[in-house]
Amino acid sequence: MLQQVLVTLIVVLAALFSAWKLMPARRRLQALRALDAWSASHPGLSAWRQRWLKPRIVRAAGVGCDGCAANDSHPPPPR
Amino acid sequence: MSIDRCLCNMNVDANANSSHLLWPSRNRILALVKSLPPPLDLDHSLIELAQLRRGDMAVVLGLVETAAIDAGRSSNESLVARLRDLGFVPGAHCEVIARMWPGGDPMAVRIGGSTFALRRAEAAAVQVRLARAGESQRSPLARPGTSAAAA
Amino acid sequence: MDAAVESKPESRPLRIALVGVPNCGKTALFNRLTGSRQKVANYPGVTVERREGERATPDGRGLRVLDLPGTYSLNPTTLDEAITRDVLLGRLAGTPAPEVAVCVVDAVHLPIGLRLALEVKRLGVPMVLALNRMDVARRRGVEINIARLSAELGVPVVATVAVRRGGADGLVELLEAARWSTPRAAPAGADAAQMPDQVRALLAAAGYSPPRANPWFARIDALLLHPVAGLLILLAVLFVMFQAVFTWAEAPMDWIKGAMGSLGEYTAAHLPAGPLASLLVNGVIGGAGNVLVFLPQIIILFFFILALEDSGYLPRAAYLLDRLMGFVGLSGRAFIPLLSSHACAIPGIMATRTIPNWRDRLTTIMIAPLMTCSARLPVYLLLIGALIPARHFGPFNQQGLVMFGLYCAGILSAFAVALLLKQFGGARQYSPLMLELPDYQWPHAGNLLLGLWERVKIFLNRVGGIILALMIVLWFLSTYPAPPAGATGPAIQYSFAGQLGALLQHVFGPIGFNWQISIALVPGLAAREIAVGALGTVYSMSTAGDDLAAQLQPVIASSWSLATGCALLAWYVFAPQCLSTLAVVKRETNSWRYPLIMAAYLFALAYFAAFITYRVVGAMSPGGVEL
Repeated sequence: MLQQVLVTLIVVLAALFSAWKLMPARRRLQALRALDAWSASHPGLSAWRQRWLKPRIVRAAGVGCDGCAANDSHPPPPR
Repeated sequence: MSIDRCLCNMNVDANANSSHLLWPSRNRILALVKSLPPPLDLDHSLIELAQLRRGDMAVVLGLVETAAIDAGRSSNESLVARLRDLGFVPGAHCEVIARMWPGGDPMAVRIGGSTFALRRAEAAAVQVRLARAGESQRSPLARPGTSAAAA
Repeated sequence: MDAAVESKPESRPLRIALVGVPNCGKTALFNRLTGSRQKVANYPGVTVERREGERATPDGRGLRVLDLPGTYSLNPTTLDEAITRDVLLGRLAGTPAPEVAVCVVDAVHLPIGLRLALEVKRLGVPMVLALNRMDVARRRGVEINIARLSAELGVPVVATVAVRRGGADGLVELLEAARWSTPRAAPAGADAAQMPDQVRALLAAAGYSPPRANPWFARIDALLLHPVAGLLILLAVLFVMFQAVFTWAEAPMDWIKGAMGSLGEYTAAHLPAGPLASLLVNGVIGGAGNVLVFLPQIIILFFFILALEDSGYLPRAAYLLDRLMGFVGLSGRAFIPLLSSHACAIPGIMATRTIPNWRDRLTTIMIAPLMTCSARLPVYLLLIGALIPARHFGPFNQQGLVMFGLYCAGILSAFAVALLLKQFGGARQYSPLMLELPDYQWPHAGNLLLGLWERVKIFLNRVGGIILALMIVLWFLSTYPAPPAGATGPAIQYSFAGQLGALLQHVFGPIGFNWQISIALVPGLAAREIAVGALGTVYSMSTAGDDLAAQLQPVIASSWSLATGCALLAWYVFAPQCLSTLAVVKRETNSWRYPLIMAAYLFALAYFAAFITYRVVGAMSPGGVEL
């Protein structure tokens, strides 16, 4: 029984992950923006939103790959 | 007036619409001069870079547009501008290091300490004279006026 | 020439951009500044994409470094150069203008770099000048008074040695102390014809003495640029590369295979039999593990590519091949994008930004996927290893020869397609070559290792990410629905995947693919190497009994015919089993039309080639089991 649950969980996660990666970039951006709009109405999530969501949106919106100079919320590396 | 200056003005101003003037503009006169056959210059025979052979050393005299490149005017101008960017300026010493087979296209030319690969059509835009024996590459910064270039 | 010193006491990192002519050591300086703290876009090897990195500074503020594409002039002739200019002026959407522009000038080639620096100065952008490769320059007899140059130029100048530890410290100190200058912007169109004179004047005032020529360069060039010897050497280099990929990697590969096998057995032994064990052993280890096995080969291939690039040989290869490429209607500048495509077509396609002519660029993009990319390697290696016996002809390995043949097939087919496009292309604008052949240098070990590490990271990311995920999904589709009681035949045939495979059999039957291959090609659309993993999953689950983590190659060797294997090889030479490539083409060409055309013609070619191969090989080696 436990095995069934575990396996189902893993497979579902894998399927979601694949779908996310294979999604066209614009859809991904739309999904992220929708997520952003939803989390804006929940002030408790603002920390997560700032740290995780916003950089991802900026990166997804930028031209080219993961590097984008507009990604200003990235803190400088520790010394 | 050096040849280079003459040619440069051609590239920049030849399109200028001077038909409203009564007198021929300076540029029309220059265009006229340019269309005359080049003066016979026995000492410094003007040849194209494309005609040099492997091992030849030469001094750049100027840049011209060429008919060999079938394109609009803007393409020719950018070609000339790019050649100048790379260092093909009057007075620069250059050496042909290699030529490919068949047809010697492209060729490898060493100029100003760097080496470039140029096609015949591009090299045809560079006018040079063969370097005389004893002229060395040691001062690539020689000004065009200092060597006995044609006026 | 104003020299206004600004200081920005902010807490955000200082944004700087490295600008310079190609081959000035900009990338080495970038590596020195940012070390492994680079957010390299996923595509190393060619400085086309904007690369960003970070560096900590003693005052805690930090630097954010942007590596701009090398350009000879801010009057752009290629897309690359236009991007550099636009970024400097802050015109590129999504990229704020850098706060300081660092002009990197190769001290060995001062005049040409200084020219660009003067152009940047005319923009009125805050800037400093980094005189790079000072160590090499000094050795070659270059003399320059840096202080005087700085005074004459009106811009702070600092010497850097990118390849030495601490070689960029002077630059970092300068930036930290905010000692840059903001020159007055000159009006646009100020005549460029004066630049050479200005450069001469500057250098003369700074007591410049040009470098002595290195006689070795001339000697080596005499050989490597020779029309006959040069081409032969090029062929030899490529050949050695492919042989090495096979022979050097044998030991590490066997080690990885062994490790995967033991891991599989261990897992099977310690978990109660059931879906979890099956998932882990067949899906994860059998699937992703089979792709991981090819890591050593990929490392070796990239080692050669990066070393050749670092040494300065690649543009010379472009010189040698320019005539040939012109014959099929390609620009000589297409050589480097096409060579990059041997690593992965995606950076190759992005590298076409250096091709100024749109038609040439489009042609190059269209044929880039035909170059044997590294993702095809696992498939090729699997099939060659399984089907081609490892006979030796003198020093040559038969398997290595076939591999070389496959690479040639990719290149020849690309040229054929280019020729076809040229016929139907109509009148074309002339596109210049004008390629710099940089000085030779020993490949720098640090840069090489960094480049290799980046590539390894990408590969591992793919394997641990999308490949693993798809293998798990495939496992699920191959296991359920479970076969009804009393069913004969392998369980997998009753599952979703099996049913899909049976459907696809109608399409792929004529070219000799069995249903296992047909299944494997579907997830294989996401990325090429997934087909190997998929085959691993499919086979380890269709072998009767507890033959878990069985090695894939012997299974294939014993159950496929040579004709089928060769047909699959031919399919893989052409088929666009890579959604990411199509996505990049769409982005680079800004339309759906070209990626769709590309997919259509590549699939058609693949089917055709596989069909012919299957029939021909099948006729030559009367069917059945080979070996």
